[in-house]
Amino acid sequence: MALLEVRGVVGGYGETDILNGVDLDADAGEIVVIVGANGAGKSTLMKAVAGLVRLRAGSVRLAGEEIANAPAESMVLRGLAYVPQERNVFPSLTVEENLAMGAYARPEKFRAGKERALALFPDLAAKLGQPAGKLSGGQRQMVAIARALMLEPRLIMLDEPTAGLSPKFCSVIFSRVQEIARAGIGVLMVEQNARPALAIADRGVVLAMGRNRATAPGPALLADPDIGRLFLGG
Amino acid sequence: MLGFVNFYLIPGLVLGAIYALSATGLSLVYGVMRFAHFAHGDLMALGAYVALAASTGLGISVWASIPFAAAATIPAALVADALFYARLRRSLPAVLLISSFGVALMLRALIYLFFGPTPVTFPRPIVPPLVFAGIRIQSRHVWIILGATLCALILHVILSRTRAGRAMRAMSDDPDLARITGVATEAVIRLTWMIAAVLVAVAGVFLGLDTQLQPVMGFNVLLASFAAAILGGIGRPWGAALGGLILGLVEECATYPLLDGAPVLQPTYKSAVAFVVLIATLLLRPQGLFRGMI
Amino acid sequence: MEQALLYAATLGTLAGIYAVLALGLNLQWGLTGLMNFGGLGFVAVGAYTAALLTAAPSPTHVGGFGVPWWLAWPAAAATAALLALPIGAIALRLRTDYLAIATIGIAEIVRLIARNEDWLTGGPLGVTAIPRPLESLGTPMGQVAFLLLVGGILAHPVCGRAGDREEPVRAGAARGARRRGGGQGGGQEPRATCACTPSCSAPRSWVSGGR
Repeated sequence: MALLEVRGVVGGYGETDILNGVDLDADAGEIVVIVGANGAGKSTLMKAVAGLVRLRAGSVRLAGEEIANAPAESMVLRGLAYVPQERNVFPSLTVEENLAMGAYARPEKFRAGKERALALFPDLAAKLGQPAGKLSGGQRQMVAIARALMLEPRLIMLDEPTAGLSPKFCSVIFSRVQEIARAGIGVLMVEQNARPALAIADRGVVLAMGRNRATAPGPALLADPDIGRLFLGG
Repeated sequence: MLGFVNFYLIPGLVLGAIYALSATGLSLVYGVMRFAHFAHGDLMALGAYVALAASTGLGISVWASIPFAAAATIPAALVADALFYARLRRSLPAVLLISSFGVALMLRALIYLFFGPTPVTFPRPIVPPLVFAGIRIQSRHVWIILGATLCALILHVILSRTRAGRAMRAMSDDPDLARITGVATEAVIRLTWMIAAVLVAVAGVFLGLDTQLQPVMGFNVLLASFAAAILGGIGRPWGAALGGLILGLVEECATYPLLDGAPVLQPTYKSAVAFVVLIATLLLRPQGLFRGMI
Repeated sequence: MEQALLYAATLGTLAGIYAVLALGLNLQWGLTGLMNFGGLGFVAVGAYTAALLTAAPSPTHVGGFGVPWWLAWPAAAATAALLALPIGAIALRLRTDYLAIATIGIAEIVRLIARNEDWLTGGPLGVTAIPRPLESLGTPMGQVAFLLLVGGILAHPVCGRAGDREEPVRAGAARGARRRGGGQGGGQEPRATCACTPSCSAPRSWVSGGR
């Protein structure tokens, strides 16, 4: 049994379905990267798993427990953390308060979580008192990931963590993602920056039109000429 | 100069303190629930009238009747939310705005029903004003300014030091992200109503003490409160408090006879100051002084 | 019989005026999505313009122009359209709820001016002795004719199409011209005074659907 099992999910916004039956597995300590063209349903899939988009059909199991359409505010206690693509920090709250929000459901775990966060992202130590809205994009991403890790989730979902970042920050983020996975946390990641992301992926999933197009270890997907031409820009 | 302090500056501070209380609650509600709450003024009037009933009925001082006012405005706000706003949570802000207008009319009708349309005043003994070096100030004005300051301090502690206050600020930053982090949004909304209702009850009693009670008293200061909240940056309680203070001062001082004994602005146009400030803010700096949500 | 007809005509006229107002708001909110909470500011400007142009000379306000109603009404529309100019300039830049608050503010300023500029508007006393159109037909035929006029405006295709702010203004012009107090008390003789006062245009009275 995989940590996260998504089976045949169908759903979207209002009347239109964006997801037309997606399957997905993610294991503990594994990096799963979802790639696909714009509008393929990558972000919607994450929102659906996180409880922000309603599913009309299908099942989502986390460690064997059905969580499809459970309230979004209940996910963090089930061990599911989610970092949306944009607006992933509370801009008017300080960095420290953002971390405190990460431990909102279990305030007693704040101190230990903050220590782990600062060990993973030492740069944040100097920024703790600053409003998160004043940080650079890369620093904001670090705050967002640190916030999501506060309660030691089983699975963390990252929606385009490197979007708009400089190459230096991209490699920092990717190496931290590998560190997170080594700690035994499952990582589910959507990436536009597909090549470097697939290079570190234990599993790559190609989505098209809200359906699975291909699933294979990341490097194998990279080597597939069809996939390269269709989804990775040549 | 003393005349300016006694007749313009001090009344301006008092009015500003009342606006600040009202605008802060308005701004909190806007931040957390994202709609302009038009029943805020009538909630204020409700608080004032219940305080009047409590202080005359029980023979207690007006200050001691403030908890009774809050005991009326809190359930009123929670019931209005449960009956109307909660059902419209996912609608456009305009729909919520109009529904709150409906709630405002219901509250006002209740006030007319129980207390009648005639303006009344709180029972208050005639006390000579306090005099410091020529500055004359009514003791009730001192208490209003101190009371508003105390409210602001308590609110500051709640918002910045408590878990619930942080959740309120987080929700006003980003409701979806707040849910992702495990914030039970409905509970935060209820807490927001309670805090706003207490603030508005205090504002209502203060307004009644400063002037008089009439059913439209709250509606009359509602637009000024909106102006203050927008001036400060809507969704930013500090901004709203500062905006209220500025607006109160500007409104009173605008009638100061600066030009050869003629007032800058005829007193009858005082209430237009708020609208001019409001429209100027919306045109020149819609995010307000404190970068509110636009 | 005559009394009943008079009562019905007065009531119908009032309903027609509200209908014109509602049409204007529907055009604005419904078709353009611009939430104008200050509709009665326009009504007031239109009403005062028409009233002052047609009313008899009075020591309490400007007047005595002796303009016939059919000239005064378009003038009322034009004046109110002038008020719409600055609002039009800001409307598209503001979010709906801000626009709603701003338009209430503008209507309040209009009301303050109407109440405070006595030389112009007669202050709280308002403008009285406004000649009613078609008065020469007598009672109740004059009222019935007026009702037909309001109905004609209501039925005119322009009311169903052109999406601008003039519609509340027409209602304002009509409102300023109608006799107040006629509909109450079961068809009693309408009072001889026709009045246009600042309280006619308080935004809350409009929202509550009453006066």
